[in-house]
Amino acid sequence: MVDKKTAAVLIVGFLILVSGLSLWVLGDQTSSVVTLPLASTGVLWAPLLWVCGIIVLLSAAFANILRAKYYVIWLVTLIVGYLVIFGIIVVVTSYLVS
Amino acid sequence: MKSGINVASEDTILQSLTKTGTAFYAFVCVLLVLTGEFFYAWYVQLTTGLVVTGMRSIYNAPNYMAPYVAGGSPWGIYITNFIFWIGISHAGIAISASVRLMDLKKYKVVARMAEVLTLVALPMAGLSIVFDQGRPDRIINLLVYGRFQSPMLWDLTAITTYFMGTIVYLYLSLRGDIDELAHKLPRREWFYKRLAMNYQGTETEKERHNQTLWWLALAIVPIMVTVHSVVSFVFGLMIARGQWYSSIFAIYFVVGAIVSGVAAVYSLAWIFRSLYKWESLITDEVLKGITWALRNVLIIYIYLWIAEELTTRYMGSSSDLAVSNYLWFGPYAPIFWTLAIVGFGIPAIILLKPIFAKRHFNPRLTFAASIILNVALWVKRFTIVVPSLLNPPLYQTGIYMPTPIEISIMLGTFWMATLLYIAFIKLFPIIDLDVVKG
Repeated sequence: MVDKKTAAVLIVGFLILVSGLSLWVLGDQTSSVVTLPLASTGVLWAPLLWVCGIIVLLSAAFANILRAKYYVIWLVTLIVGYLVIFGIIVVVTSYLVS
Repeated sequence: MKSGINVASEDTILQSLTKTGTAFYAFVCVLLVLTGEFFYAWYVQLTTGLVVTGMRSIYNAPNYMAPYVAGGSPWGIYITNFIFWIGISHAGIAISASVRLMDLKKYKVVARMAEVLTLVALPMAGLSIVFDQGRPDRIINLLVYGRFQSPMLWDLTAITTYFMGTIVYLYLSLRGDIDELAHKLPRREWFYKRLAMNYQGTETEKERHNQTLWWLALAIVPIMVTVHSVVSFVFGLMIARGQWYSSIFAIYFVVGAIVSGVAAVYSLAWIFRSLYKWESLITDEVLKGITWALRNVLIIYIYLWIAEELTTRYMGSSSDLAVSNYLWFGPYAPIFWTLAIVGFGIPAIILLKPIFAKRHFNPRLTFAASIILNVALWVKRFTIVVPSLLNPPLYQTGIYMPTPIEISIMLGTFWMATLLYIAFIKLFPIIDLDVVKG
């Protein structure tokens, strides 16, 4: 049984995923990704959106079971935790390598 | 267990959380020391550079390799280790999802130990890639500047999806037990209560859990196949290396992963059964069932291996044949033939024996076969990665031998994985409590 909250999460996750993929493909074929406002931050957002979309999609299973508060806790933990792992590797190893 | 009636209780399962002896602490101390040694080795590699490893670019070999031409292999035991851990991770969701989707209740006792294996193995696979990089800080570039055409990025995507799916799946399957632990282990109530996230345990809630897990299992099975296929594409899509550019590679990797994963689950099941006297939970019938699966996938794997070698050797002169000759008669021939005879031949005989003599199923001997198989599969991945790199189409480039630093770092993943697994079994039941509730 899928409720409205779960359906909404599935749709949002899918949209993030497709946005990431579209920006990626466009970015590869043209320079359009550079002209997007987000690019002014200096980060190419397409791969990040792609990964976040995957995580949001999978978290729909949590949305189907947990109360909204707990679902948000899990979602934030998954996304932030994932990016923090990259952050730690980058910070620690760049310090040691240099 | 008699006639399918389980005589064990929840307390039997909770032994793994509550009973901790001196031997356990001694074992953990040894693992911590070994992990410390790993961190030191990695520190040396990071501060000195990859020159401390046996890996070399094709045209750059140090003088002590003088008997061999020049150069070496740019990939070595780290990439071997990566494929190995990815293979091990196959077990978890494959077994757990099969149990759920096909309603194989008998194997529910090993489902969680398999799921945890996936959760522990995947970070080790990821770390193996980090070790392989001279500048691990640049790993962030995969996320920031990833190119969709690259199989490396497919790998990142597939592994991320698999890892996240495993976390979600494991938590949902564990949530009921966590809530129960809050009542059974009052000293840890604070921790379990918060982790259970307001679990009520009503019939509706349980039903919803089961339905969600069923759908998640259904979604994760193709992800799992994708992960192992994508790992093979890192090699199989490269045309310039003998024995890599092969249409058989994806299925070869997937089957290899199933063999190592199922063998690892058998090993774990036998260890837990022996350690906690869980014969009434992990019965001979369960072990026989896992052995049956292991035997069948092993036969398929050996068949694929023979098919690959036959095709290579029959077609005459090619870069594939050069790699094959290198393995059969070159410097790695002792490894190759030991692998074929001891690594695969002996376990195959052990696993096939019960077919011909029904009473000859020996759990201990099968445990030995499962361990040999996993070592053999690690070495098999080595023979896939290194010889092809040492034999580019034009000429042979040298030889690769891992250094002590490299071996310490590679072994570090095993110590860390064991520590993580131990941490899990001291916090959560390694067998679903539902098993004894009937």
